[in-house]
Amino acid sequence: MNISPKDKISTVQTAISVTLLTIGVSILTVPRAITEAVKTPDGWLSILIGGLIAMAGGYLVVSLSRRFPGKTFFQYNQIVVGKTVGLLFSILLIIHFILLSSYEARALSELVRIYLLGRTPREVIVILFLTTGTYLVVGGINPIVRLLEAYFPIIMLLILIGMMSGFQKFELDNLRPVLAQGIGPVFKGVRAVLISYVGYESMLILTNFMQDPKKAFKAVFAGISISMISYLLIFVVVIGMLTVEEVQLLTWPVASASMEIEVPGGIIERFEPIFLVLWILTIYTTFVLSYYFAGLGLAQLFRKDINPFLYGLLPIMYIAAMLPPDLNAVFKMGDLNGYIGIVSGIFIPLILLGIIWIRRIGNGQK
Amino acid sequence: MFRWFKNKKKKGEASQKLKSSKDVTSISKNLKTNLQVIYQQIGHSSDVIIRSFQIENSKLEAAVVYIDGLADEQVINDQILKPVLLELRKIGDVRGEKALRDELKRAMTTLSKIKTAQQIESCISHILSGGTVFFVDSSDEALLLSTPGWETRVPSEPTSEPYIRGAREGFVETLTDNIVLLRRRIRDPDFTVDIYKVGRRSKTDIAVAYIRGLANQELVDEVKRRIEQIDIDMIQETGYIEQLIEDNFLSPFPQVLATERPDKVAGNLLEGFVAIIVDNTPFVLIAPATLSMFLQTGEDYYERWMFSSMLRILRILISFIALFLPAIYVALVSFHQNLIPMDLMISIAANREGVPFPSLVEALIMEMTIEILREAGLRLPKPIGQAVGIVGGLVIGEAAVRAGIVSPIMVIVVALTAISSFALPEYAMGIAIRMLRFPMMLVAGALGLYGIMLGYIMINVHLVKLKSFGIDYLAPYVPYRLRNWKDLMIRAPIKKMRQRPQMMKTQDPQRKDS
Repeated sequence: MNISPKDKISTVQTAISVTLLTIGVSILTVPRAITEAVKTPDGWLSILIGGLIAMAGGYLVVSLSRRFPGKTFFQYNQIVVGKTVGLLFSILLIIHFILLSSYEARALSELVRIYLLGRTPREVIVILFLTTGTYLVVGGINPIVRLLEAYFPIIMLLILIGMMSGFQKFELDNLRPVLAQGIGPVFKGVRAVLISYVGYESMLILTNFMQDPKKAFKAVFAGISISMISYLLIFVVVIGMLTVEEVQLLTWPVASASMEIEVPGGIIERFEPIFLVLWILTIYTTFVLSYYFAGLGLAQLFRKDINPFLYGLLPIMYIAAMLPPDLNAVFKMGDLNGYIGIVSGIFIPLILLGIIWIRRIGNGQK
Repeated sequence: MFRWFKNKKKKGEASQKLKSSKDVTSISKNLKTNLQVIYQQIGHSSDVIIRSFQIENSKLEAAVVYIDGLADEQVINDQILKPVLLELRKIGDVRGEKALRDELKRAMTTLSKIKTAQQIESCISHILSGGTVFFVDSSDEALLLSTPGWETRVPSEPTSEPYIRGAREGFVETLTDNIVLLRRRIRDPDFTVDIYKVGRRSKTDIAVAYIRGLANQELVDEVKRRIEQIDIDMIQETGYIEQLIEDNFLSPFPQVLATERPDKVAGNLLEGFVAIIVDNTPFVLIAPATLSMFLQTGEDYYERWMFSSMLRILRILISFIALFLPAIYVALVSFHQNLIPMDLMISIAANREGVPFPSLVEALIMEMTIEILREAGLRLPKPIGQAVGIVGGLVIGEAAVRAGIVSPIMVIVVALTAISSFALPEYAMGIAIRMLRFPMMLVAGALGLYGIMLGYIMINVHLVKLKSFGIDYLAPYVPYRLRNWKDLMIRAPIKKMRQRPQMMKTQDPQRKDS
């Protein structure tokens, strides 16, 4: 008996996938990334504007994918732009997902070394994390989205509880004045924020995994909105607890902010390791999704079974994760990957849609 | 029971089919030949009894065949032999085979069940399951008379699942009695029982019970298909069936629920589940099973909803304690001392002063000891078992600490863990958690909280991949069935529960209106 159809995911699962692919490590660094660029407490406006741009990107991505039912980006881009360019686009997206998963694994190992296991070699942490991911992804998209579904309430609860306990040190004055230096700095922040919204481009693939692709718009908007609200909450609370000046200097502002939280009754001496231990779940969700998409991309390019590619990706991801020599290089890699994400989430869909519009090919009604 | 012969198409029984088609022998018109065949097949055993006699008026030879003790001799004498010998004399000469059979049947109306058979094999299997077979000369049909005579146990309180509030009767070892226990609770005309014979030699009766028109037909067919495919020589217990039909035998988690309680089975049948009842065991299987079912009891529905909801949340906490507490202790003491409040840390350090082992070894020693004690207490006769408990408690509680082998705080951790694993309502889930505790302690000893988290993720990944009869093991939590969350971590008021579980895809999803 096969009551649940294979390789089809529900609208809720799609929205959750978009959200969890977006947050992950980036939510831990987003307050710093924004304040570095904006330098005023107005970063929350950048988050809002960035969210709207991401939604526009999501609209492009979904309306492009809806034109080719049953096909993923890797399969349909060659129809639009021909073999060579299509291959380039596919490879770009695959590299994006490989880099994203390596970035998550590497950032996790840095976090674990700072807050949990000071003496354990980075290599051990990364290898174990990668293989734990392999155990899940070889099961296909359905177990992945079910696991995401299972973790989603835990993660949201964690954000809410963390934020609520943050209010004990919250100073509204830290967020003032509003727009003291005009709207200019806000737009400087948008670029930094857009990198953090990378994740919705997964709809290039997910749209046609959906049971009901008509609801893809709903799913991507819901997914981006939840990430936007999470970013807003984190940003406001972190800036409110620390200050703009302080946040710019902190590597992991969210972890530092959670250090300030005092657990009532003193049952736990420090809060931030607990927070980070649970945050491993979030990083894992981002990691497995991008890992799976990279494998899927390769499998569809070569038209072969996916599992050999998933195993084959392990050493590649490991090398990519170990490439940056220090933490700064890790963040640079994350930023670079963010730009690739923007290219594949906004510019490539624009180009493809333009070509489709000129050549009048492909449509959803087929 | 003849279903077995009808389902010859199924490839799983190819060997069975061969065997039965080869051995089919029709009953001949000659009584002597029939008795000869029967004698050849089962007569070598001295408890097989063949009684021949003559029906007075027609001068016909007749015989009854049964097994001593398995069939009720008193019933045979009073309700078969006496009426046939006495009453048929009054009627006079009966001509014709069919008329004779009708007369015989009429004479034995006091018997509950009479069937006819044309094949020796069905006669033999009837004899072996406690019936009596009546042969008459010049007839090529035999009468199968139901004369069960073995001892059955009276339903008593289920020892593995005692409830404070709830019926005091549990299933017994007899299949028919168990079906009766269910029928008494569900007087629904759609309550259906299909009986199979499984086991090449044991020929155990297995009943598949479900509500026709309510349970998902695909599910019912799948359960039947898996049972038909079983090829084994003997079925001892439901555990055999469970292990032969489960989806993943490499999983530590039980994928079929075994229970001794008829009320629980009845409740699940009405939610669209399928029950598998096996002869000779008081345990009944419910398929499919999900993780949440192992954290619930039938009593949750009998107590008031607030208390039951509290208990359910408590059980989730309990399962986490039973699985992770020793591992967390090991991780905290050996890697993350900075997480423990300073005062507590000082007292733990002072306690561990004389302990020569690292905390992982300490935890492993204590957990092993507890497992050994538990096993010893279970296997020994009850009075000695209790003595073992007391001795073990003393050893763990006092002597080990005094001797400086373990720290007192470790004793608390182990005791809390053991009590938590006892508090889980389903034994099968308790075993799974007890087993997984050891790998968790090992990863905690190697990688601290990070290791525990990876272990937790691994368990979760396994759980999301696991399915029981096509239904997600984590249903209804994942995929989200928000409507059924009313009966998941909390138990909503019965008035508010209007639907049957969506995951079961029942044909009649509405439990009640409004």
